[in-house]
Amino acid sequence: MSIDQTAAGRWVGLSDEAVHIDADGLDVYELNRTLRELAQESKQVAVDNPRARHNLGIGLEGMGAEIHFLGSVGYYCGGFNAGASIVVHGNAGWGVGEAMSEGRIVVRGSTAWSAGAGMRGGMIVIHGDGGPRTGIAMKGGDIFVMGSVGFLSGFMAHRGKIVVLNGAGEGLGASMYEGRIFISGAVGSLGADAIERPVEAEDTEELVRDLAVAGLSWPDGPFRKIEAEGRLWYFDKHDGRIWRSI
Amino acid sequence: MCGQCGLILEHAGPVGHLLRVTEGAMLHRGPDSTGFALYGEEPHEDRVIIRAHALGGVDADEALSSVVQGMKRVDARLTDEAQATAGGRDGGTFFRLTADFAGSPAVLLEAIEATEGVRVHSMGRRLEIVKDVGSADEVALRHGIDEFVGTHGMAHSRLATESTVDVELSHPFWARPFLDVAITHNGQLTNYYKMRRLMSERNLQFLTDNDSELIAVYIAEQLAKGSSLHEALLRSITALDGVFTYLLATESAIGCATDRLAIKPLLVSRIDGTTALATEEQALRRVFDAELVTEYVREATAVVWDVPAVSDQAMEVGAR
Repeated sequence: MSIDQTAAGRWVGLSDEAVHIDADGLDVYELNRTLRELAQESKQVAVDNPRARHNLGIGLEGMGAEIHFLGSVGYYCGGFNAGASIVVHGNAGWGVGEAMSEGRIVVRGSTAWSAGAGMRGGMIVIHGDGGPRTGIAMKGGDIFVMGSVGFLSGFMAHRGKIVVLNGAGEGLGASMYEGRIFISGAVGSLGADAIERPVEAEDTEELVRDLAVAGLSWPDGPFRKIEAEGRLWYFDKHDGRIWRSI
Repeated sequence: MCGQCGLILEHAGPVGHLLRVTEGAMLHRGPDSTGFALYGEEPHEDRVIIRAHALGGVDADEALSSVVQGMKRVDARLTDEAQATAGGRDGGTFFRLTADFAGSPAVLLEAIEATEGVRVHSMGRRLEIVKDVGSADEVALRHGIDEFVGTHGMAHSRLATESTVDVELSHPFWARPFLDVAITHNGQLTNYYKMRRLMSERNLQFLTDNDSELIAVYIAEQLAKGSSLHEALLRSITALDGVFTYLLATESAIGCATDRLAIKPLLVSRIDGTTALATEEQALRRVFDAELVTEYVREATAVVWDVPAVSDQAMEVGAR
């Protein structure tokens, strides 16, 4: 029984009408093809026995169906997502939602490295902890993490938003171009060129709306806003101290 | 890449089979060669188990009789007939020898390798290293890994980066000449030559020029000098430079150490008295059907898991 099942064995948020696919015995291409077909005509599709396999639910488009993985998934789950709504009832491996452009991925457990790497749009919600390099090189979209994130989260982000409710490791927001990180809880350290800026009233309004959409509650402590100071945008090669600061 | 795994069973059991299945799930991480470090049941007093390889092109019968003579010269008494366990894909032959020997392992090692074309893969009271070119399933089938009963062990699929595809350069490595110490390693060291020079000055020996073998010897040297496994692993995190997440096994424990980024993943799961470690979660799920609670080992971390079956034996001996 998973932590994401009720005492009666029901999966949170999954209805009895959901269409089930058993991942055992299907190779990943067949599985993803079947997912795409079923997602066009059903409200909910549930994948049994994902067994932490890689590349599940790649390149799905928005068809109104919600895809539920009933257990942990491996690397790159929901990669290139173009609009589908995905729920992982367990943990996700490296690069969940990598390069996604639209849609929503909810991970009910924790994620390994590089969640939302290079994502362009859409939303990832992590109920546990995000690993190191969460949101690395993201170019848009939003990542919400109920727990903490590991080191170098937001590294080289171009745009987009990361909201973390419970702390971060070393080098938060290192070498960002643009984009914003809102963090509550303890931060190991800020990364190269990352700077704390005041949280304005409109930021707070935005966060209230965001958290409601993500289904998360407001944290106990205040938020801090981390952005790029911009010193790396046009750095002078003689000023090595700035870009070698990590 | 490379994929590695480790298992510690609560009681002696089919550790060879379980490691083969776990490692088989990570073929995509390293299809070049596969190896197993297996720790058998209760050791006998002064009994040493030797796993060796006569290279392709060497006459196996001649090599074996020469090895046996060499062992006799240093007072190692064979307890069973030497077994040629299998022919390797390179045309060589693998041997398993057991001998009663109370002397220095370095002397025995030298006596065996005095025969041209013979390389010792492991020596120990429990440890047996079997490694060959090919996938986990191929190597296991060729060498009867599925039948091995023991308390703990490790496996490794190698994607050769720093040296060529070769039986001797496959993992796990034995920390020669220290009995029962073995390593699997995912990563590559950048201060290898400096470390090797310093260690050679202390008269430490290596079979290969592989960076992973060096880590094993580095740890074993400290264990021999009285450090605990945890202390030695912790020290390695700053002494070694480069990328590493490695598993280091002894007669009574498996430990791991990660570099300061831990970019090579290692997942840990404990289920019903069994501790299971693997590079990828899907590998663990091949063996354990139940829902697992898994955790990544964090950066710059050293962890040691004791083998319960061995500590129970030690306690029984103590109680007598």
